[in-house]
Formats: sequence, structure tokens, C-alpha cells
Amino acid sequence: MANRCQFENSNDIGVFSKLTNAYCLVALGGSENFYSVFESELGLSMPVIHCSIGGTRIIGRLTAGNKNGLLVPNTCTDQELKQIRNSLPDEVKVKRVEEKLSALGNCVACNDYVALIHSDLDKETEEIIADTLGVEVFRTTVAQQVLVGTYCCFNNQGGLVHPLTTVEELDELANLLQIPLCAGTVNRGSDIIASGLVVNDVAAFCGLDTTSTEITVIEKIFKLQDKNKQNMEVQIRQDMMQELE
Amino acid sequence: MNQGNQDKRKQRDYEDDDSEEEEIEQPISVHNKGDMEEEINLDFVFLDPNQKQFHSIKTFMNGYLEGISFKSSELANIICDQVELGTMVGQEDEDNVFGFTTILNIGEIKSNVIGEILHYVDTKSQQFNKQHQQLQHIFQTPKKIGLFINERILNLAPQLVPILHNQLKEDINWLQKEDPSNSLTNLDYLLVITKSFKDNDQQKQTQKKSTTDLNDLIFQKFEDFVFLQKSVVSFRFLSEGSKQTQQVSDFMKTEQDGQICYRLIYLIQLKDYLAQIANIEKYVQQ
Repeated sequence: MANRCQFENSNDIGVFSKLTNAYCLVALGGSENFYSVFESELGLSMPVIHCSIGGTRIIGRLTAGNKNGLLVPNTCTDQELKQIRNSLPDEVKVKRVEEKLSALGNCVACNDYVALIHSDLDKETEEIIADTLGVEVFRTTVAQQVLVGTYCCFNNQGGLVHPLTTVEELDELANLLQIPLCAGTVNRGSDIIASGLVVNDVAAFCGLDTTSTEITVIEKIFKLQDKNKQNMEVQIRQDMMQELE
Repeated sequence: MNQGNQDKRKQRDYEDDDSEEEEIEQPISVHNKGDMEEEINLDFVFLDPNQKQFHSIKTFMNGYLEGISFKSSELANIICDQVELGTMVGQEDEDNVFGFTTILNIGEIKSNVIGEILHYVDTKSQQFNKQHQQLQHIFQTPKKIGLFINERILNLAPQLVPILHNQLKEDINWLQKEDPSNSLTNLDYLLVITKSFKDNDQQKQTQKKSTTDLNDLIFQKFEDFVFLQKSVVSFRFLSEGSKQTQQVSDFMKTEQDGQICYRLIYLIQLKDYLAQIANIEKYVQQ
């Protein structure tokens, strides 16, 4: 299911939160409304951890992670790192990365199997990503943009990319990732996909301004629809076809 | 209604008759590490409000009520739809807006967001305003009050500011000629919600002094200082937002003991505002 929410009037959910299949990080200082949307949807199945990175709240853009691990930038303090490590499940490896491109969330887009990274990321960082997150790593661009983590967002079932991505690029990326991809927008036409949306295999959260068309696209491409709803749609379609015949 | 106003807009006497834009070239000097001064020419364009600017306007409006949750998207929509009054400054062929000014008629707009803003002003006024009675009296005729929204990025070239305000003045004059029945032509007062800062050290020293000394304040927008001097009602209070961000960056406090943020709310008569615009230009020339 895709849910709409806001962090202190900002529709940039993906800036203030990070969602994976094993845990969820949220920034400090938001209203109870924001946290309750996450907690009610994710329930007891995964920990919702309040944290900051380098004293800032833009944790979604600074960190990269999946169910296997979490990478934090060198701006993360020891205290914050300790707190995150203590709150995360034991299976999740946490590593601090010494990299000049410290906004890891903007430079890395990943699911539990594959990661796309910024073309200028260090070789060492690439190896750390492959090792800690347990993924296959590809250096690529999305719609001629090097900030792959900003302009695309994917889970294990599907992905959404920048609206100006060409068909050829879509095919190429879908091949690399082995999942269906779709070009689209969030938050009423914003092309900064990952700042407006966080998604895992069972839930997605996007800004309040996201239109119902955008939500429909999100639910379809990330395969978040209820199985019952999907069956119902198929049934309705079949009935309509029968009537037309 | 909107369509009608857009048609009227195009008949205005501009230098470029068909365009709704004015280009102003602003040469800005830049120093380059011991090299000779380099001049970069930037072209700014002044535009009418437009739906394409929605995202920029919404970003500006997010912090309007100190981070309190309110319908900022609705407000951004209303601003973008009001073509007849309002000016945006941006660049050619780009939808990003660097600053804008507009006036919304509080009594005419049927939207929850105006109610939320008025409720906020009323609550703060009850707590902090010595002239609360006067404010309530003025608010009894909401159709005579305009919400004056004046936002821009922090480092926008100051030379552009008088132009933004002058454009508003021209818009009002044009409306008075072309559509005198428009509610925006009959405003008496402007309500302004804005920000100012005070040095942390000074705060401790001047605690016993009168809090109405404008010279102690550092204004985020310099023209607020000019307008405040002619305001009929004004009050200020500590910004709630600054307390929240301190919560996150407490451990970095030694580097941030700079300034305390105050919210300012004031009412100025429309005729005084229009008269003071000329004084803003003097500030820029200094």
C-alpha cells in the first residue's frame, strides 16, 4: 500500500527517512503524525529508529542501505553511529564510509540484490558497498544524471525512474536490475523521485501532494497492491470483456 | 474569472507588448582568490504567477508558520493562481523562483489555509501582543486586509528587491484602472508575518530593556525595518522552530551560539506601504 504523509510541512519524505525490508530510519523532530503513519503501516514487523547523522535530519539522503546493511557517511559522529548500531537488528551490518561524496543516499540506489552507484565513487567505496550490502554493483547514470540515488528508487519488485529517462535507458537499466522499471514523478510532478518517496517490498510512503495517478503508478510498478484487489481487478476486466462480446 | 484577468494583463503597456516578462541585467562582481575581479552577468526575469512555479512557492511556504503543519500546498496554489497581482523573480526558461511578492485578500479567499493563518496570528497576538485589542478591531473587517507575502532566497541580489515591491504597486494601480471592483483594490491594511534575529550575547544584556527597540534586531529582509517604522500594530515572539533544530544539533552548540530567531507580525496601512517603497531604494543604494 502507498501512503501519503508529510514531515513538518515538507513533502520530501525520502530526505527525512530511509526504508528497507529490515528496518526504517526516521529523522528527529517530526510531528507524531509522521511517525504514526510509519508505525501503523510497518507495525511490529520492523524497528522504526529515530536518529540523526552529523547533527542533521537529512538522513535519507546521507545513508544507503538494504536488509543486509547500512552505510553512513564520515560526517556521522561516533555517538550517532553507536546509537544506530544498537537499535538495528543484529543481522544488519553498519559501516561508516570515508568518501568525499558523502551524500550516500544521493549517490547509491539499491535493493537487496543490486546497487546502482554514482560514476565518481571511489573503488574502495564500491567494494564496501558490495561487501556490506551484499549486492552486485553497477556504475551508471539515470537520464544522464550522475546522482542515481536521487533520480531513481527501486525495491525487489520494481522501480521508478526520472521522467526524462529514454526507452533505451529504461531497457538497459531493467536488464541490469532484472526488475520492471517505469518513468514517473512524485509529489505532483517533481522529478526528484527518491526525495519524495521511500519504498520497500510491502509499503511505500510519499508526500501529501502526490496525485492519485502518481500513487496508482507507484502501487503498480512496486507491486504493492493487495492481492485481493488485484484479483478483483482481473475479475472485473474479464466480466467487462464478456459483456462486450 | 482568471481567464478574464489574464486577457486584461496582456493589454498592459509594457516595453514588450506581448510578453509578460521584464529582463533586468544585473552585473555582479566576484573575487577569485587573489585574481582580478571577475564580473559575471546574470539575467533575472520578472514573471506573473504561474502553476509551473508551484514547487518553488511551496518550498518557500513550508516554513511560513515556523514549521507548524498547515496547508502550505493550498496556499502555494492560491498564490500561483492569482495572476492579476503578484510578481516572481526567476530565470529565463526555468521554473525555479528565487523570490516573490504577492497580496492575498483575507476576506475574499474561501480556503481553510487562510483560516489557519489567521488562527495562528490570533493565538500569538493573544499571548504576545500589547495591542491585541487594536488588532482584533482591524480584523473585524477581513475584506479590507491583505496578507502580504514577501519571500526570497537569502542571498538574492538586493537590487532586485525594490523592483519586486514596485511591481506590486504597479499591479495595484493597473487593477484600480482596469477592474476597480476587484477586492484587491479596496484594501486598507497589510498583514505581514516575517523573521528577524538577535545576537545571543545581546539577548542576555538587554533583557531588562524595552523589547521594542528595532535597532537591536537583525532583519532577514531589510525592507521589514523600513515598513515596521510605519506599522500600526506590531509584535514579536521567540520562534518555536529554533528550539526544535537545537534539539538535534545540541552537541554542536559551541559552534552555533550565534543568533536567536524571532517571528515578527505587523500590520501596516496599504498607503503607508506604498509610500515607503521609495525608501527601500535608498537602502539598496547605500
